[in-house]
Amino acid sequence: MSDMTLHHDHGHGDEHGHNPAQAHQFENMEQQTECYITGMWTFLVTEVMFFGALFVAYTLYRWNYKFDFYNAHEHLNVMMGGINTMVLLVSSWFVVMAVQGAQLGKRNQVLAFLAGTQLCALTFLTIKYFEYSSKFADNLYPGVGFTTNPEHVHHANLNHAQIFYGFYFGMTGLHAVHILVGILVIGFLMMKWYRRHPSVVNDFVYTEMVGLYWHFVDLVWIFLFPLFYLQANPFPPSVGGH
Amino acid sequence: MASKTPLQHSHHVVPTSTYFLTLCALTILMLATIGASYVNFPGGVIVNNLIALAIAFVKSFLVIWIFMGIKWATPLTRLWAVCGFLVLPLMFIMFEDFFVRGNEVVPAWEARDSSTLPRQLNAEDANKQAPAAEFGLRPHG
Repeated sequence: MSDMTLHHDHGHGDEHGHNPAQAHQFENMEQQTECYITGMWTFLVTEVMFFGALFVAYTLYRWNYKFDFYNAHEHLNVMMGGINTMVLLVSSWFVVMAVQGAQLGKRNQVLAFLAGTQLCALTFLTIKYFEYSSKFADNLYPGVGFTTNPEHVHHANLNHAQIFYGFYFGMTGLHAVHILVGILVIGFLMMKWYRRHPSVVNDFVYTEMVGLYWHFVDLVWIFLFPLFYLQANPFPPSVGGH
Repeated sequence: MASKTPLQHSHHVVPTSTYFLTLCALTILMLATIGASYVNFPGGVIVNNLIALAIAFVKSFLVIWIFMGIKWATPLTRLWAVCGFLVLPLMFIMFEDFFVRGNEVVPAWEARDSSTLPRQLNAEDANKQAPAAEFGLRPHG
Protein backbone atom coordinates (compact mmCIF):
# COMPACT_ATOMS: atom_id res chain seq x y z
CA MET A 1 0.00 0.00 0.00
CA SER A 2 2.83 2.34 0.84
CA ASP A 3 4.29 1.50 -2.57
CA MET A 4 1.17 2.70 -4.34
CA THR A 5 1.14 5.90 -2.34
CA LEU A 6 4.71 6.50 -3.36
CA HIS A 7 3.89 6.10 -7.05
CA HIS A 8 0.84 8.22 -6.62
CA ASP A 9 2.86 11.03 -5.15
CA HIS A 10 5.41 10.73 -7.89
CA GLY A 11 2.74 11.00 -10.53
CA HIS A 12 0.70 13.81 -9.16
CA GLY A 13 2.99 15.85 -6.99
CA ASP A 14 3.37 19.12 -8.82
CA GLU A 15 6.68 19.77 -7.14
CA HIS A 16 8.13 16.83 -9.13
CA GLY A 17 7.32 18.43 -12.48
CA HIS A 18 3.77 17.32 -13.11
CA ASN A 19 3.00 17.28 -16.81
CA PRO A 20 -0.29 19.05 -17.53
CA ALA A 21 -0.87 16.51 -20.31
CA GLN A 22 -1.19 13.69 -17.78
CA ALA A 23 -4.73 12.45 -17.25
CA HIS A 24 -5.76 11.89 -13.66
CA GLN A 25 -6.37 8.15 -14.03
CA PHE A 26 -2.73 7.41 -14.84
CA GLU A 27 0.01 6.95 -12.26
CA ASN A 28 2.62 8.73 -14.34
CA MET A 29 3.45 9.79 -17.90
CA GLU A 30 5.22 6.51 -18.69
CA GLN A 31 2.07 4.55 -17.90
CA GLN A 32 -0.07 6.97 -19.89
CA THR A 33 2.25 6.78 -22.90
CA GLU A 34 2.33 2.98 -22.81
CA CYS A 35 -1.44 2.93 -22.62
CA TYR A 36 -1.83 5.27 -25.59
CA ILE A 37 0.72 3.42 -27.71
CA THR A 38 -0.80 0.04 -26.89
CA GLY A 39 -4.20 1.40 -27.84
CA MET A 40 -2.82 2.61 -31.16
CA TRP A 41 -1.29 -0.82 -31.79
CA THR A 42 -4.64 -2.43 -31.06
CA PHE A 43 -6.11 -0.36 -33.88
CA LEU A 44 -3.19 -1.28 -36.14
CA VAL A 45 -3.74 -4.98 -35.40
CA THR A 46 -7.31 -4.66 -36.66
CA GLU A 47 -5.88 -3.03 -39.77
CA VAL A 48 -3.50 -5.97 -40.21
CA MET A 49 -6.49 -8.31 -40.16
CA PHE A 50 -8.42 -6.01 -42.50
CA PHE A 51 -5.71 -5.91 -45.15
CA GLY A 52 -4.61 -9.46 -44.27
CA ALA A 53 -7.88 -10.95 -45.49
CA LEU A 54 -7.40 -9.16 -48.82
CA PHE A 55 -3.83 -10.43 -49.08
CA VAL A 56 -5.04 -13.99 -48.43
CA ALA A 57 -7.69 -13.64 -51.16
CA TYR A 58 -5.16 -12.16 -53.58
CA THR A 59 -2.67 -14.97 -52.90
CA LEU A 60 -5.33 -17.58 -53.53
CA TYR A 61 -6.40 -16.15 -56.89
CA ARG A 62 -2.85 -15.43 -57.97
CA TRP A 63 -2.01 -19.07 -57.17
CA ASN A 64 -4.91 -20.28 -59.29
CA TYR A 65 -4.56 -17.84 -62.20
CA LYS A 66 -0.83 -17.13 -62.11
CA PHE A 67 -0.51 -17.00 -65.91
CA ASP A 68 -3.46 -14.67 -66.38
CA PHE A 69 -2.38 -12.49 -63.46
CA TYR A 70 1.12 -12.29 -64.91
CA ASN A 71 -0.17 -11.22 -68.32
CA ALA A 72 -2.62 -8.71 -66.85
CA HIS A 73 0.02 -7.21 -64.55
CA GLU A 74 2.18 -6.22 -67.55
CA HIS A 75 -0.08 -3.18 -67.91
CA LEU A 76 1.16 -1.89 -64.55
CA ASN A 77 4.02 0.59 -64.57
CA VAL A 78 6.93 -0.66 -62.44
CA MET A 79 8.65 2.72 -62.66
CA MET A 80 5.64 4.55 -61.21
CA GLY A 81 5.17 1.87 -58.54
CA GLY A 82 8.87 2.01 -57.64
CA ILE A 83 8.86 5.80 -57.36
CA ASN A 84 5.79 5.57 -55.15
CA THR A 85 7.54 2.99 -52.93
CA MET A 86 10.49 5.34 -52.56
CA VAL A 87 8.17 8.29 -51.85
CA LEU A 88 6.50 6.36 -49.04
CA LEU A 89 9.80 5.17 -47.56
CA VAL A 90 11.10 8.75 -47.49
CA SER A 91 7.80 9.93 -45.98
CA SER A 92 8.20 7.33 -43.22
CA TRP A 93 11.63 8.76 -42.51
CA PHE A 94 10.16 12.27 -42.39
CA VAL A 95 7.63 11.04 -39.84
CA VAL A 96 10.21 9.50 -37.51
CA MET A 97 12.19 12.74 -37.69
CA ALA A 98 9.02 14.65 -36.81
CA VAL A 99 8.41 12.31 -33.84
CA GLN A 100 12.01 12.82 -32.74
CA GLY A 101 11.40 16.59 -32.91
CA ALA A 102 8.28 16.16 -30.78
CA GLN A 103 10.24 14.16 -28.18
CA LEU A 104 12.87 16.91 -28.02
CA GLY A 105 10.27 19.68 -28.05
CA LYS A 106 11.60 21.14 -31.31
CA ARG A 107 8.52 22.68 -32.92
CA ASN A 108 10.22 23.75 -36.16
CA GLN A 109 11.61 20.27 -36.76
CA VAL A 110 8.16 18.75 -36.26
CA LEU A 111 6.46 21.18 -38.62
CA ALA A 112 9.14 20.92 -41.33
CA PHE A 113 9.18 17.12 -41.40
CA LEU A 114 5.40 16.80 -41.21
CA ALA A 115 5.18 19.19 -44.15
CA GLY A 116 7.63 16.92 -45.99
CA THR A 117 5.38 13.97 -45.21
CA GLN A 118 2.37 15.81 -46.60
CA LEU A 119 4.33 16.60 -49.75
CA CYS A 120 5.23 12.92 -50.14
CA ALA A 121 1.62 11.88 -49.60
CA LEU A 122 0.41 14.30 -52.27
CA THR A 123 3.15 13.12 -54.64
CA PHE A 124 2.04 9.54 -54.05
CA LEU A 125 -1.58 10.35 -54.84
CA THR A 126 -0.61 12.36 -57.94
CA ILE A 127 1.38 9.42 -59.34
CA LYS A 128 -1.53 7.15 -58.42
CA TYR A 129 -3.85 9.44 -60.38
CA PHE A 130 -1.76 9.03 -63.54
CA GLU A 131 -1.58 5.27 -62.98
CA TYR A 132 -5.32 4.94 -62.56
CA SER A 133 -5.96 7.20 -65.56
CA SER A 134 -4.08 4.88 -67.88
CA LYS A 135 -6.13 1.92 -66.58
CA PHE A 136 -9.43 3.78 -67.01
CA ALA A 137 -8.38 4.78 -70.53
CA ASP A 138 -8.19 1.07 -71.44
CA ASN A 139 -11.45 0.22 -69.61
CA LEU A 140 -9.66 -1.93 -67.07
CA TYR A 141 -11.96 -0.99 -64.20
CA PRO A 142 -13.90 -4.14 -63.24
CA GLY A 143 -17.58 -4.14 -64.09
CA VAL A 144 -19.90 -4.24 -67.09
CA GLY A 145 -17.68 -1.84 -69.02
CA PHE A 146 -14.58 -4.01 -68.65
CA THR A 147 -12.52 -4.17 -71.79
CA THR A 148 -13.09 -6.93 -74.36
CA ASN A 149 -9.87 -6.14 -76.15
CA PRO A 150 -7.32 -8.91 -75.40
CA GLU A 151 -4.47 -6.47 -76.10
CA HIS A 152 -5.42 -4.42 -73.03
CA VAL A 153 -4.95 -7.36 -70.69
CA HIS A 154 -1.97 -8.73 -72.62
CA HIS A 155 -3.94 -11.80 -73.77
CA ALA A 156 -4.94 -12.95 -70.32
CA ASN A 157 -8.34 -14.59 -69.86
CA LEU A 158 -10.66 -11.58 -69.63
CA ASN A 159 -12.55 -12.83 -66.57
CA HIS A 160 -9.36 -13.56 -64.69
CA ALA A 161 -7.85 -10.24 -65.75
CA GLN A 162 -10.98 -8.64 -64.33
CA ILE A 163 -10.40 -10.44 -61.04
CA PHE A 164 -6.82 -9.17 -61.08
CA TYR A 165 -7.95 -5.60 -61.62
CA GLY A 166 -10.61 -6.04 -58.95
CA PHE A 167 -7.83 -6.79 -56.48
CA TYR A 168 -5.64 -4.06 -57.94
CA PHE A 169 -8.22 -1.30 -57.59
CA GLY A 170 -9.61 -2.70 -54.34
CA MET A 171 -6.33 -3.02 -52.50
CA THR A 172 -4.42 -0.03 -53.89
CA GLY A 173 -7.63 2.02 -53.64
CA LEU A 174 -8.10 1.07 -49.99
CA HIS A 175 -4.46 1.94 -49.43
CA ALA A 176 -4.99 5.31 -51.16
CA VAL A 177 -7.95 5.97 -48.83
CA HIS A 178 -5.58 5.37 -45.92
CA ILE A 179 -3.18 7.90 -47.46
CA LEU A 180 -6.04 10.41 -47.67
CA VAL A 181 -6.94 9.82 -44.03
CA GLY A 182 -3.25 10.24 -43.18
CA ILE A 183 -3.15 13.60 -44.98
CA LEU A 184 -6.14 14.76 -42.93
CA VAL A 185 -4.76 13.52 -39.61
CA ILE A 186 -1.26 14.89 -40.24
CA GLY A 187 -2.78 18.19 -41.36
CA PHE A 188 -4.75 18.33 -38.11
CA LEU A 189 -1.60 17.53 -36.13
CA MET A 190 0.36 20.23 -37.98
CA MET A 191 -2.34 22.76 -37.16
CA LYS A 192 -2.07 21.83 -33.47
CA TRP A 193 1.72 22.20 -33.58
CA TYR A 194 1.49 25.47 -35.49
CA ARG A 195 -0.80 26.90 -32.84
CA ARG A 196 1.42 25.51 -30.06
CA HIS A 197 -1.55 23.63 -28.70
CA PRO A 198 -0.63 22.23 -25.24
CA SER A 199 -1.94 18.74 -26.08
CA VAL A 200 0.78 18.14 -28.66
CA VAL A 201 3.50 20.40 -27.25
CA ASN A 202 3.41 18.90 -23.74
CA ASP A 203 3.10 15.28 -24.86
CA PHE A 204 4.83 13.77 -27.88
CA VAL A 205 2.57 10.71 -27.84
CA TYR A 206 -0.01 12.22 -30.23
CA THR A 207 2.68 12.86 -32.83
CA GLU A 208 3.98 9.34 -32.23
CA MET A 209 0.53 7.79 -32.69
CA VAL A 210 0.02 9.58 -36.01
CA GLY A 211 3.51 8.38 -36.94
CA LEU A 212 2.59 4.77 -36.16
CA TYR A 213 -0.43 5.06 -38.44
CA TRP A 214 1.68 6.46 -41.25
CA HIS A 215 4.27 3.68 -40.90
CA PHE A 216 1.47 1.14 -41.17
CA VAL A 217 0.36 2.71 -44.45
CA ASP A 218 3.96 2.38 -45.62
CA LEU A 219 4.04 -1.26 -44.47
CA VAL A 220 0.99 -2.15 -46.54
CA TRP A 221 2.59 -0.67 -49.64
CA ILE A 222 5.82 -2.62 -48.96
CA PHE A 223 3.77 -5.76 -49.61
CA LEU A 224 1.46 -4.36 -52.31
CA PHE A 225 4.34 -3.27 -54.52
CA PRO A 226 6.08 -6.65 -55.06
CA LEU A 227 2.79 -8.58 -55.10
CA PHE A 228 1.17 -6.49 -57.85
CA TYR A 229 3.96 -4.81 -59.81
CA LEU A 230 6.85 -7.26 -59.56
CA GLN A 231 5.43 -10.58 -60.69
CA ALA A 232 8.11 -12.86 -62.10
CA ASN A 233 7.37 -14.67 -65.37
CA PRO A 234 5.69 -17.99 -64.48
CA PHE A 235 5.66 -19.35 -68.06
CA PRO A 236 8.07 -22.19 -68.82
CA PRO A 237 10.76 -21.19 -71.38
CA SER A 238 9.06 -23.28 -74.09
CA VAL A 239 5.89 -21.19 -73.85
CA GLY A 240 7.16 -17.76 -72.89
CA GLY A 241 5.10 -14.78 -71.84
CA HIS A 242 2.94 -12.67 -74.11
CA MET B 1 8.68 25.23 -20.43
CA ALA B 2 11.14 24.07 -17.80
CA SER B 3 8.71 21.68 -16.18
CA LYS B 4 8.11 19.69 -19.35
CA THR B 5 11.72 18.84 -20.12
CA PRO B 6 12.20 15.85 -17.77
CA LEU B 7 8.90 14.37 -18.89
CA GLN B 8 9.56 14.91 -22.57
CA HIS B 9 12.75 12.92 -22.11
CA SER B 10 11.07 10.00 -20.41
CA HIS B 11 11.00 8.28 -23.80
CA HIS B 12 14.04 6.92 -25.60
CA VAL B 13 15.10 9.42 -28.27
CA VAL B 14 16.58 7.61 -31.26
CA PRO B 15 19.53 9.36 -32.97
CA THR B 16 19.04 10.70 -36.48
CA SER B 17 21.83 8.48 -37.83
CA THR B 18 19.90 5.32 -36.88
CA TYR B 19 16.84 6.54 -38.75
CA PHE B 20 18.85 7.58 -41.79
CA LEU B 21 20.71 4.24 -42.00
CA THR B 22 17.37 2.46 -41.80
CA LEU B 23 16.08 4.54 -44.71
CA CYS B 24 19.22 3.66 -46.71
CA ALA B 25 18.74 -0.05 -45.96
CA LEU B 26 15.08 0.15 -47.02
CA THR B 27 16.07 1.87 -50.29
CA ILE B 28 18.67 -0.79 -51.08
CA LEU B 29 16.16 -3.54 -50.32
CA MET B 30 13.58 -1.88 -52.59
CA LEU B 31 16.05 -1.81 -55.49
CA ALA B 32 16.99 -5.43 -54.70
CA THR B 33 13.38 -6.59 -54.89
CA ILE B 34 12.89 -4.88 -58.27
CA GLY B 35 16.08 -6.44 -59.62
CA ALA B 36 15.28 -9.90 -58.25
CA SER B 37 11.92 -9.97 -60.04
CA TYR B 38 13.67 -9.93 -63.44
CA VAL B 39 16.12 -12.75 -62.63
CA ASN B 40 15.39 -16.35 -63.62
CA PHE B 41 16.32 -18.28 -60.51
CA PRO B 42 16.87 -22.05 -60.65
CA GLY B 43 13.77 -23.59 -59.14
CA GLY B 44 11.34 -21.44 -61.09
CA VAL B 45 9.00 -18.61 -60.32
CA ILE B 46 8.24 -19.88 -56.82
CA VAL B 47 11.81 -18.90 -55.87
CA ASN B 48 11.18 -15.39 -57.24
CA ASN B 49 8.03 -15.14 -55.16
CA LEU B 50 9.74 -16.39 -52.01
CA ILE B 51 12.64 -13.95 -52.48
CA ALA B 52 10.24 -11.04 -53.07
CA LEU B 53 8.30 -11.96 -49.92
CA ALA B 54 11.49 -12.47 -47.89
CA ILE B 55 12.70 -8.99 -48.87
CA ALA B 56 9.27 -7.54 -48.06
CA PHE B 57 9.40 -9.18 -44.62
CA VAL B 58 12.90 -7.79 -43.93
CA LYS B 59 11.70 -4.33 -45.01
CA SER B 60 8.61 -4.54 -42.83
CA PHE B 61 10.73 -5.75 -39.91
CA LEU B 62 12.98 -2.68 -40.27
CA VAL B 63 9.95 -0.39 -40.35
CA ILE B 64 8.31 -2.05 -37.34
CA TRP B 65 11.53 -2.49 -35.30
CA ILE B 66 13.17 0.91 -35.91
CA PHE B 67 10.62 3.35 -37.38
CA MET B 68 7.71 2.20 -35.24
CA GLY B 69 10.08 1.96 -32.28
CA ILE B 70 9.26 -1.57 -31.16
CA LYS B 71 12.98 -2.06 -30.36
CA TRP B 72 12.67 0.51 -27.58
CA ALA B 73 9.04 -0.17 -26.66
CA THR B 74 7.76 -1.52 -23.37
CA PRO B 75 7.26 -5.31 -23.16
CA LEU B 76 3.47 -4.91 -23.31
CA THR B 77 3.57 -2.87 -26.53
CA ARG B 78 6.10 -5.27 -28.02
CA LEU B 79 3.91 -8.27 -27.22
CA TRP B 80 0.92 -6.53 -28.78
CA ALA B 81 2.80 -5.70 -31.97
CA VAL B 82 4.34 -9.16 -32.38
CA CYS B 83 1.02 -10.91 -31.79
CA GLY B 84 -0.67 -8.57 -34.25
CA PHE B 85 1.64 -9.49 -37.05
CA LEU B 86 1.53 -13.19 -36.14
CA VAL B 87 -2.17 -13.14 -37.00
CA LEU B 88 -1.32 -12.56 -40.66
CA PRO B 89 0.56 -15.84 -41.33
CA LEU B 90 -2.08 -17.70 -39.32
CA MET B 91 -4.72 -16.55 -41.80
CA PHE B 92 -2.88 -18.44 -44.52
CA ILE B 93 -3.68 -21.78 -42.84
CA MET B 94 -6.83 -21.90 -44.96
CA PHE B 95 -4.63 -22.66 -47.96
CA GLU B 96 -4.22 -26.25 -46.83
CA ASP B 97 -7.78 -26.68 -48.07
CA PHE B 98 -7.47 -24.83 -51.38
CA PHE B 99 -4.14 -26.32 -52.39
CA VAL B 100 -5.39 -29.91 -52.42
CA ARG B 101 -8.11 -29.09 -54.97
CA GLY B 102 -7.34 -29.31 -58.65
CA ASN B 103 -10.29 -27.34 -59.94
CA GLU B 104 -10.87 -23.62 -59.83
CA VAL B 105 -12.54 -22.07 -56.86
CA VAL B 106 -15.29 -20.06 -58.53
CA PRO B 107 -16.85 -20.35 -61.97
CA ALA B 108 -16.66 -17.47 -64.40
CA TRP B 109 -19.51 -15.01 -64.63
CA GLU B 110 -20.93 -16.29 -67.88
CA ALA B 111 -23.72 -18.85 -68.06
CA ARG B 112 -22.59 -22.36 -67.26
CA ASP B 113 -22.59 -23.54 -70.87
CA SER B 114 -20.27 -20.83 -72.09
CA SER B 115 -17.93 -21.19 -69.15
CA THR B 116 -14.59 -22.72 -69.89
CA LEU B 117 -14.29 -24.02 -66.37
CA PRO B 118 -12.61 -26.04 -65.13
CA ARG B 119 -9.52 -25.17 -67.07
CA GLN B 120 -6.12 -26.73 -66.85
CA LEU B 121 -3.99 -24.60 -64.61
CA ASN B 122 -0.81 -24.74 -66.60
CA ALA B 123 0.62 -22.58 -69.34
CA GLU B 124 0.32 -24.91 -72.36
CA ASP B 125 -3.34 -25.76 -71.85
CA ALA B 126 -4.43 -22.47 -70.32
CA ASN B 127 -7.42 -22.13 -72.64
CA LYS B 128 -8.46 -25.79 -72.84
CA GLN B 129 -10.90 -27.59 -70.64
CA ALA B 130 -9.60 -29.96 -68.04
CA PRO B 131 -9.95 -33.68 -68.84
CA ALA B 132 -12.52 -34.03 -66.11
CA ALA B 133 -14.84 -31.57 -67.89
CA GLU B 134 -15.95 -34.16 -70.45
CA PHE B 135 -17.28 -36.29 -67.60
CA GLY B 136 -19.38 -33.38 -66.45
CA LEU B 137 -17.16 -32.56 -63.50
CA ARG B 138 -17.75 -28.87 -63.15
CA PRO B 139 -17.52 -26.86 -59.95
CA HIS B 140 -21.23 -26.11 -60.14
CA GLY B 141 -22.01 -29.05 -62.45
